[in-house]
Amino acid sequence: MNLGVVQGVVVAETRVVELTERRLVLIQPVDESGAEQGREVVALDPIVSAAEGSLVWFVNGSDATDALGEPFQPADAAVVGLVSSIREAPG
Amino acid sequence: MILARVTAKVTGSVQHDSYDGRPLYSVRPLGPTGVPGQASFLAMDTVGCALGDEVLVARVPGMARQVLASERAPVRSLILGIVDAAPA
Repeated sequence: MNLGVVQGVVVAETRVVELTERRLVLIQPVDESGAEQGREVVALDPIVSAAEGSLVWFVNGSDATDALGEPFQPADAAVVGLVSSIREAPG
Repeated sequence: MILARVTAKVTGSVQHDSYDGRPLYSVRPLGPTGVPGQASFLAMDTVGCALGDEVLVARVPGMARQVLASERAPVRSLILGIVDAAPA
């Protein structure tokens, strides 16, 4: 599970039939301070419908297919939460 | 399992059902010298930890399903213990 900032919606008119109804977003992974960490990923966004610039958390691998439920969705990343607040440890 | 430092508490407004009612924290793995080093990630708390605690974190697919007693929970990283002492 990782934090990320939504960079925008990815449009792909041609895609596998299992994903035709699904929203795709480009995510820049960040740490708890908002610093970028790692490469951008494309994730399905089945729950949150996050706007550009939103801070979200997402899952990878088999967790993504778990998040998407039935029927099986061929994806390896999915947004599972919209962050409302972050409180950092002092120091 | 790894040792990690709890660096932030994360609260969500819209989220997958698996996250309802369970605390979510950002944790940073501790290096060999006890200094937070590698990239941070999120972990769900199962033991009642606090900001700044050193904790035991496991990342195993399917384990959250056992611990949370929920089929197909999209939760991989769990905080499983609060460290009182570890070799320096």
